[in-house]
Amino acid sequence: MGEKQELSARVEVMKPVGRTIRLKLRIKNESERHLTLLLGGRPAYNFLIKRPDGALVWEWQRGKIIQQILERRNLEPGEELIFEATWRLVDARGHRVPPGEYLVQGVLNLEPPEKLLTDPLSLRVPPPKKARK
Amino acid sequence: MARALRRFVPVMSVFLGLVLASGFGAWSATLTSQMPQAPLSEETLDDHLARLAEQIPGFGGIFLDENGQVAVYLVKGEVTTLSVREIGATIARTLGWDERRLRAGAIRILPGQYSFRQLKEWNDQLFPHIFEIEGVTLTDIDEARNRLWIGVESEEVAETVIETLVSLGVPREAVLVEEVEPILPMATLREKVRPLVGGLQINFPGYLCTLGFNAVRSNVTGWVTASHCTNVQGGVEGTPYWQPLEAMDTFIGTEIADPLYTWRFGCPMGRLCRYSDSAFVQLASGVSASLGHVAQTASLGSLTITGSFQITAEATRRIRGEVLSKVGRTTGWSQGPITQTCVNVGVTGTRIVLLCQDFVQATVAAGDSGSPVFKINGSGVTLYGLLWGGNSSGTSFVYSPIGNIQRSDELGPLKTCAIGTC
Repeated sequence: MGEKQELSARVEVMKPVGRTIRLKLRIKNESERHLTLLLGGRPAYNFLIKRPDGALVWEWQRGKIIQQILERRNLEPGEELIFEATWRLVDARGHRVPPGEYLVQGVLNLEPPEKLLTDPLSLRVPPPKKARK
Repeated sequence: MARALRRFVPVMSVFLGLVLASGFGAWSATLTSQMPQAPLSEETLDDHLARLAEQIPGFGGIFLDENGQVAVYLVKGEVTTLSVREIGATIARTLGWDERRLRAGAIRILPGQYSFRQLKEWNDQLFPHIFEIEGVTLTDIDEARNRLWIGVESEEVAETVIETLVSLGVPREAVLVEEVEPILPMATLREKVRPLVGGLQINFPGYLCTLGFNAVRSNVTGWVTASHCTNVQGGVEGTPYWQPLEAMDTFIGTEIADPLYTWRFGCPMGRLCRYSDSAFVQLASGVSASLGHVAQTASLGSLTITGSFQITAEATRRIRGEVLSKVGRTTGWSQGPITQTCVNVGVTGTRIVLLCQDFVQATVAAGDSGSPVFKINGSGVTLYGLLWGGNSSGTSFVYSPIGNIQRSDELGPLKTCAIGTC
C-alpha cells in the first residue's frame, strides 16, 4: 500500500475529565492526489496504552467483536479521518492504573496485515485528588 | 491426467517440465533433455506421439513406470522389424530427447491392445461430440493405460457418454469412462470464479466481503452473505454485488432479504436483536453458481483454489470442541475448535445484539465477513453457519449458526446442499 507514505497519522490526548481521558486519532491525506484506503474491520481504529518500557496496559479493541468487513474509503487531498475513544484509566483487567507516565498510540487497520501506527505520545496520569474533609 | 499421473508420468511431461518448470523436476533431474532451448512447437504432445507411431509400427504409447523406467506399448501381433535399441533411438530422435538410456535400448516393452494412431483417430472423432455432453470434464489418450480416457462428473453422464461413443462406432472396451472431480481453474478467492461457490470475494458499493454459500430460498436461486455486508445492516435496499470487484461483466446479484433488527423477547432493553447476521441475495440472470459447493484452497491459510468442498448436510447441533473450518477472501481456509456456543454478542459501535452465536478459535481478518463455516465429514462437509465477526487479534471468529439463519423470523428455510446428496 504505497498510499501509506502519503498519509500522516497522529494521536491527540484531551485533558483528563474525572477518571476519563478522551483520545483522538487523526489520519490525513498529505498528498496532492486522491487516495483510496481499505479500512480493515468495523470499527477499523484502535488505541494502545503502554508503559514507557513498551508493555501493553490497555487496548481499546480488546474484548470487542469486530465486524470483519473491508471498507474502501476515498480521501481527497488534505482530507482527514478522525476516530475517537475514551480511556477510563484502567488496565486490561479493568483495574485503575497507578499515576505516572504512559504512552498512547493510535492504530488504523488497513487491508490485513497492513496497519497505520502513530508515533507514541507521552501521557501523564495524575494522582487521584484527595477527598475534602 | 490426474489419475494417470498418480501412477505414471508420461515421458513427454519430462521435457515439457523443463520448459514449464513444473512439478516434474525430480524426473528431469535424472532424464535430462538436450533441447531445453528449443521453442515449443505448435504441435501437441499427441501429434508428436502420432509421428512416433508412423515410425514404430504398433506403437501404442510411452510413459515412465513407477520405477522410473521408460515403458512402451507395442500392439500384440503387429510385426516390427525394429530392435528395442532401434525403438529407443527412434524415440530419442523423434521426440528430440537425447537420453543415453533410450539410445541404449533400456526400455520396457508392454503388450498393447490399440495403436496410438488408432486411439488418436478415435479421440479426434469423439472430441467434438463428447464435449457437447453436459458434465464431461476431460478427454485424453491415456498413454499409460493404452486406452482413451473420458472424465465425467457423474454416473448419469457416463451412461450418456457410452451411448455416444457406441453410436459413433468406437469400441466400448477401448475407452475408460471414469468419474473425476470437476476441474477448477487455479484462481484465488479474490479472482473472478464461475460458477460461484462459497468463500469467494464479493464487492458491494464501497466494501469487500465474502460469499457465504449458494442457496435456494422460496424457489429463488441465490446466495447468502452477512447482513452487515449490505448497504444497510437490516432491511432491504437492493444492494448490488459484484465478484470479485465491480466491472462490466462481474455483476452477480441483488439483495432481496435482510430482516430488520428489532426488540423481541430475550433482547436486552434498548437494544435491537436478531438471531443471525445474514442476508439473501438473488442470483443475477446468466450467472452460474454451484449449489452446495465451497471453494477449497490448497492448504490451511492458502487463497489458491484447488477444488471444492461439497455440502452434504446442515448441522443440527453444535458442541464445544468440534473442529470447524471457514473459507474467506482474506485469510483463506482456517480451522479450529468451537470455544463457546449460544453466546449473545453485542456488536461494537451499534445497538445490535446477536442472539445465540458461536465462537471458534481460528484465524480471521477483515474481509472474511460472510464466510461459510463448516465441518469436514469424510468426503463432504456439514454446513454450520456464516462468519460475521472476530476479535481484534484475529485469533477467534464468531458465526451465526445455520439453524438460526433458517428460523422463520430470519431468512427462513433454505436449500443449501449439493444436488442429490441431502
